[in-house]
Amino acid sequence: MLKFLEIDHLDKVFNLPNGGQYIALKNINLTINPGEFISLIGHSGCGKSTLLNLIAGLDRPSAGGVILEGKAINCPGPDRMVVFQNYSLLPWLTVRQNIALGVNRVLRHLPKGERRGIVESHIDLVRLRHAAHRRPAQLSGGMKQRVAIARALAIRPKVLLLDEPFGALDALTRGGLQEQLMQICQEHQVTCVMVTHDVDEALLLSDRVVMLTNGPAARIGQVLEVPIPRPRDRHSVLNHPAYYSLRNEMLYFLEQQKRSKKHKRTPVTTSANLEKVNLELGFIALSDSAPLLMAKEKGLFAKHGLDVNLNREPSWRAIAEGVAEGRLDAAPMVAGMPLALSLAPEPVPICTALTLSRNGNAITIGKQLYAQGLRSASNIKQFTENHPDQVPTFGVVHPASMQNLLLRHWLANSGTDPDQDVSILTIPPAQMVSNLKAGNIAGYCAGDPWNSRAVHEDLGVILATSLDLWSGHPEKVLGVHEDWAAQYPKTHVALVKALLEACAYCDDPRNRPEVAEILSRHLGTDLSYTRWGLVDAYDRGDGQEPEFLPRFFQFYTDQANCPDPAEHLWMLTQMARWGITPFPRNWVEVVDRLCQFEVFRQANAELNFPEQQRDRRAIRLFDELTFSPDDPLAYLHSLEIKRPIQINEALTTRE
Amino acid sequence: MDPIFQVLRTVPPLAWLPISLAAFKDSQPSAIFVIFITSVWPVLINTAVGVQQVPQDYKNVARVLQLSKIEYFFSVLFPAIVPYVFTGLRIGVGLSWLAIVAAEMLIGGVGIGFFIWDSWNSSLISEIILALLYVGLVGLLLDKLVAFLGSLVLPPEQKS
Repeated sequence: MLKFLEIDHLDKVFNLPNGGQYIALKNINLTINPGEFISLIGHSGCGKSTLLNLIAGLDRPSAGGVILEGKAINCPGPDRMVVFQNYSLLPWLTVRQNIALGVNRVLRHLPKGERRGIVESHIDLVRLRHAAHRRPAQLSGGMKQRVAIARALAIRPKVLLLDEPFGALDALTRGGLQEQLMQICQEHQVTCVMVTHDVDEALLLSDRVVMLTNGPAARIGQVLEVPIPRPRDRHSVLNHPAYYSLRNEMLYFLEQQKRSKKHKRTPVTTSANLEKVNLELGFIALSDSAPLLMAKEKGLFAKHGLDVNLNREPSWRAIAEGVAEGRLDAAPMVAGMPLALSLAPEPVPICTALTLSRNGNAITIGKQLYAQGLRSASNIKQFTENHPDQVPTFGVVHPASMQNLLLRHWLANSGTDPDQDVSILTIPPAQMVSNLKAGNIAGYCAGDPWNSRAVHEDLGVILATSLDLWSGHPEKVLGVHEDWAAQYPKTHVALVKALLEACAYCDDPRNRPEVAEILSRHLGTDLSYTRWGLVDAYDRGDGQEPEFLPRFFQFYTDQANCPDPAEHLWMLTQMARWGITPFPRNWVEVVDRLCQFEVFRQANAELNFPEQQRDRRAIRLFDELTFSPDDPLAYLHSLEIKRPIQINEALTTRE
Repeated sequence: MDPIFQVLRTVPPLAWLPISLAAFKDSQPSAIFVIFITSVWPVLINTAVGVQQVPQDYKNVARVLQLSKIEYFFSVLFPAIVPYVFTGLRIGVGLSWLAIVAAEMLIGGVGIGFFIWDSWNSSLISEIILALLYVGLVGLLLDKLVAFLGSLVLPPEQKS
């Protein structure tokens, strides 16, 4: 279907007089339906008016574009009429002439009498018949704005753009005008985009409220649907049961943005002088540690001026402690770990500027249970019902790991309660196979090569891979302590550069055999295990032909590396679902603080790599449930099997 | 502002007189040329400033409505610069009156300038004082006249 008005990956960068650049808007995506009323809301200077000007065509985007009914917008035009903040009426023309100016120009194909009729009917529409012959100086502010609205509507625009239309008016006039505008829009089915900073105004008028984060590089933070039925009037809106919760949500968003404004991130500079050269990095013996190992082996750390020592850590817990204590400068972490640590009872604020890998996990089940018929999540449910004395135990590598979250989601989806019907143990990845062999666990969800190894040693069968559960899910992220990131910004960028380059190297099929070889050397495993999934076809051990899965490990392709707030938000909901962390009410702020886009952007730009940006979109797993980043709580509440959910305010401002 | 304007603008009115006499070979058109060349600069410069000062809002309105160049000139640009033009005219009329009096002194034969110079040669100081008063009053009246014309043309909210 052709979209009516589409804002597509829009960036706006202003060149500063001192030669610098100011990124006003970054990666704005929005689709507007015909007849819809959209409000843009955000703090001053967040770029809402800039966005409106871009839609109007008064300004050109630096990247991306605005498309109206399939046509790109690159100049202003009467199909997108603007109602300016300061009215912009021509003072030497009367009310009638001001309206007629546009009508005579834009609708010049109509006969004169018809045009006059349009002008007169619009004068009546805004009830200014008595003042039609007056000049703007003789009108009050409210009347001027009515003229501006009439002028805009008279030329029958496809989209009406309003830039804080009632900002300069007193409350009484504003209220009256809002209702008039609402009526006019309802009667004429005008599509509107309005910039405002008035929460009530946005709620009264809009179908959707688009909330922008603070600049620089403002993004869409949240989109709020206003489900109040039309036709509306002020009274029905105020009495609508959803009104106050919506209002609170908006105020809360703005409050969060205000706080994160105070929490200033250290600016990233481009100098080659690094604050810290000797780095201690931790890693776990897993195939997806490849970028780290390759960066070391191929001298990429040295290339970017870093002297890195890699420490093989026994478990994810050791990694978490190492980074928290400062023993490790940085480490790849399982994707949920930064948030889990930041939200722990004794919070360790961790941030991430790079997603190191995607996919690479599988759910393996012991051969014996497989033979007994445990071949899918629903079989497990049956099995636990038939054998109430037996509680199958599954191993995962860390509570905040994607493995745990995916395994639980997979079990719960078929009605198995992962805490009551089965039990889940945390076991370091390298010990999974031996535990399976000893019969301590029935199966596990871990990263490769440990799944392949179980298959290879004829101990287990793979029931599902990442590609079956959530293809392209984030797996390892580069976690650093927030203080570390603030103290060594240049080193952070250099580290991200080295690893990003290594990620690109690892995803090149020509390099994969070499990657597998180096991995097997570092991991101390047979080469054939590490080649599995990375180079060779993937054998599930279920008797089927091994299948070639090119995306089983995804290190770079498909914009894999840019931090994605929506994915972290999904993990937040899952961790809250299983009682690992409480759900932070200020999730926008929490996730925003986690993802260090600036560092990533800078590193990517300095490498001259093609720009990466993750679309802000709904996430869908195998279960077809849609997770919308605008309403994580609704998603969380819609899940059937869950622990009691604790919602609290995460403390994020520290002095 | 263009440096050519700056150079020409600062040439004193009477300095133009010899070259215009050389060009026109007659005192009457030379005097008119001197008056013109003196008073044209403030009008030009003020008009240019007016064009630069057209509010961005008006330009945006014109861009959104996609007004043609001619429509833009008559509907937006010209009305917007009228106050600046009248400011230039008021300064210009004052300067031209200065230039007339001075030119008449040099060219001789007619006018209030010649009258003052003639009185000086005849040692009639009281007549000089009277003439000076007269010159000043006429200058004031000219200024008021242009201001009045401006007020007729300009809508009240645009008066400077």
